[in-house]
Amino acid sequence: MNISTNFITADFLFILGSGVLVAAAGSLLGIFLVSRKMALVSDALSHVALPGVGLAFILNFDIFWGVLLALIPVLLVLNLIEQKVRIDFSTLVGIIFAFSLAVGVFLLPGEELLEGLFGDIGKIMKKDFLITMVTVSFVAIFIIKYYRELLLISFSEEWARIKKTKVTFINALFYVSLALIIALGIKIIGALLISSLLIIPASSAINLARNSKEMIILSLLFGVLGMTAGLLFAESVAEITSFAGPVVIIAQTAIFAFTFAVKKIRSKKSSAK
Amino acid sequence: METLLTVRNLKISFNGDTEPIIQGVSFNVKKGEALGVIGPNGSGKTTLLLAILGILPYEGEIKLNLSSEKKEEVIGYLPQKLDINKSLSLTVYDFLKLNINSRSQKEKDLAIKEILAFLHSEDLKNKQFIHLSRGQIQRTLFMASLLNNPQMLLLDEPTTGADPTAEETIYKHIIELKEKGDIGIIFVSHDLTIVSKLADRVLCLNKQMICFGEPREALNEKTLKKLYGEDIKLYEHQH
Repeated sequence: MNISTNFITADFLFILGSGVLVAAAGSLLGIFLVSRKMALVSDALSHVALPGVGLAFILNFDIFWGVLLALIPVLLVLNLIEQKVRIDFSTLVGIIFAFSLAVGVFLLPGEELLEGLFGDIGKIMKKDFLITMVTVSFVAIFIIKYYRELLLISFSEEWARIKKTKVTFINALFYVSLALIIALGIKIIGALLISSLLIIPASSAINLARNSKEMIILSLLFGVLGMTAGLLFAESVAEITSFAGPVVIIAQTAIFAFTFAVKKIRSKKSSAK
Repeated sequence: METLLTVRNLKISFNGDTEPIIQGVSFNVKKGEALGVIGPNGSGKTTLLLAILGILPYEGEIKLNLSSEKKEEVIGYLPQKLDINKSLSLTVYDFLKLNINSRSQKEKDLAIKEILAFLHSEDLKNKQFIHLSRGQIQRTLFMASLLNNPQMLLLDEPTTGADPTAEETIYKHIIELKEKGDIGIIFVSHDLTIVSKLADRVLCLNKQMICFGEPREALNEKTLKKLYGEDIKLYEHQH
């Protein structure tokens, strides 16, 4: 295997920059998804993104806008349903999941379908990096401004309401942030794998963290680490740009396995004391 | 004594229900006083507390005489049951900090230190929720309800899930808070012995107000039969 550093071009730096920013924002949002046991929801959402990719292909505009167009209305409706209607949420998610995949497959021809499902970092340009910077800044401002409220809601929605937190408003912004990150992430790792970008770093962090500060820092670290490893591997070793997504997820899963093992060893040690 | 809360002719109904949850409830709470609320399950005790907190809509009058309009800042509330997500890596310290209203980092740390010491719970400080027992969670929520120096404290069955020792500790602290004299307390309890021991006045609730007054006068056999049905008997402890 011939590993060289020739691949570190300006184009690759745009890819790496976009990937790292999306991973960082995704791993932070993931904390609030995992702690609220909403991992399945993010899975359904990422599949809703697929018809969005189809829409973008047919109307000939950027995937980012197509995905947003598909996601935002679905998210807002989901938020409303969650507040107003008593329905088994996982059933609803399961239906949306399958339906979106079907529509996506129907709208997209072969090559584009593969790109939609697994992403293709070869298509990421300077323009995408700029969109990513602006969008991730918005998500970062949201998380920083409402950090306390997000943690309170994740701890207990009931308690947050007692504390007069604007739960409905913050949940709506949270869903919009999720949509934005999914729309950005689709290009890099695709609709099938994007939810792992949100879920795995946060779950790994929760395995190790002893308090909320550690949870945030570790999730960020694991998210960025997995993404960087995946992109470097896809670009330098495999030299196949559509490999980035799967490699990122394999790297994330390896980190999760490691943190899980550490957690088990720790709990064995503490019960032996 | 200064009156902190006046409730007049309170009526609460849920959307679409023809029968109100509670109606015709009038009482007041003074500074330094503990009001015990008793009644069977489903009698509207929790609903009453949520209306005072401003979470539920109501008809009638709830007049609070507190230093701020922001109820979440001046009223401490301990719910009976709370659905919490333990998978979040929050420690007791993290959680208490989240519950302190705008103060500097140093002041927050000091307030947490004081409240942990007040409830002799320093050992819980760095524990995550996933490692806490039900009683310890209840104690942590109790600490959170006290953090912002509330002028009014609403406690919904404060010893739910606590073992007898923890129960005694919580009640001991409620007495201590009452004796300080600068706070009004409303507590819901099923335990009539506790109520007659702790409460200056008692409110009996069963969708409507059955009694309101000092425990010795209000808690008689007639009232209790009206409250819990014909089978109940009142035994006086002979000391």
